[in-house]
Amino acid sequence: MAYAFATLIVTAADASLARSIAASFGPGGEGMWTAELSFNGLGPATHYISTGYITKQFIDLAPCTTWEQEQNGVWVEVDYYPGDAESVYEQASQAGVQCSLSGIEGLFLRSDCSKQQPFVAIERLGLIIVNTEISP
Amino acid sequence: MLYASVGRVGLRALSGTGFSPLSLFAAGEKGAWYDPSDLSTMFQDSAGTIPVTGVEQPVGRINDKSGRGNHATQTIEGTYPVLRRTGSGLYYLSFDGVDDFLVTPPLDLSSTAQVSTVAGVEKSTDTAGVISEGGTSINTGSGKFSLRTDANPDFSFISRGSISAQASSVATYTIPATVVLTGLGDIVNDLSTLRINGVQVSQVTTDQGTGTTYSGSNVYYIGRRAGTSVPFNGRLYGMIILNRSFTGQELVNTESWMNGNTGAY
Repeated sequence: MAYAFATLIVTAADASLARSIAASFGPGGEGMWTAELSFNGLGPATHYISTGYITKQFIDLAPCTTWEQEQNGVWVEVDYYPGDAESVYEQASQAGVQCSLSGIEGLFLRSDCSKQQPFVAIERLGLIIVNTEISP
Repeated sequence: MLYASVGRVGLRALSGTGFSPLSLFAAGEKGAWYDPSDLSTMFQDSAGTIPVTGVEQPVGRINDKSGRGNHATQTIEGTYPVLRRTGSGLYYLSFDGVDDFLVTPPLDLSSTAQVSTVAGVEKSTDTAGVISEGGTSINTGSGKFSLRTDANPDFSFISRGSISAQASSVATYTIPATVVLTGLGDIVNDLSTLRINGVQVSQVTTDQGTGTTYSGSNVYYIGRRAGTSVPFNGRLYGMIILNRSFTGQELVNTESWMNGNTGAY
């Protein structure tokens, strides 16, 4: 099994669909997107993130944006792979996920998927990890 | 009880004695021993079919070297820690501070009222993070412990009968902070002790409530509370969990052995 590194950030509204689709690819997809993000570090989450080594077969179907940072700090999109929504739709629908092709295309468009390290991608989007109080 | 610090000189002497943490489990003691420096114990998948052969590979399973079969695993895409190596050749599991974690099977720690844990750690950011913790949270349930990083204080060990007793570091550690952490818990005698780099830094006698032994049914999460929150951002060079107190010499030997994996002091 081959793995590839990716950082996949989805909106909170899309998280349920993203989780269902991932789970349809196998048990390893169950439990993704549990790390919460928001613009102030407080809940409720506006986004969820999954990041790390992910099965390449799965990653190759997801969209991927390549970013470069200019000297003034601005991130510029230099390449974009839209993903393979049709194949994902075929897999997910065969597994019984209630979804549509247009729904998956919308999910892909609204997601932020890249090979950036998580904290780089999180900062680029102006987001912060929601970390619950640890007490005691 | 206050134990003396042992530095690298001690480590070199001990290497000649051939101390192995396996000896801690020789009488059938319960617990676990995870050693990222031993590549033969790690696999990219939780089933243990794809060996880890080098750095920059995900670790979906690290076998327990104690002989108790408490292998720590991960099945969720993207949440595997990654095997890496320092410039001086020390191997560690890298936890990303976002969603990485491993989980043990239920650890049977019900034989005694004492638990001892030693971990080689680098704390990479000044944030709260669970290094290891029993059950869904140290704040609920009974008969468990938690070892963790925090913004301030930097490190804590918490032992819990039915009430938590937190022993925390006092000194401030510059990030990244590489340390050998030792937590010693005793829920009958109400002792919770934290040692850092071979030196006791805190001991509290807070009432730990009811219970005469640690639980036999808690899974332990490594790197994230319950696999859902309080992610650890840092490195794990090794971890030992033992369901009894160390003898004085065992403590010295184990901390020195872990320091050999960690290079903390």
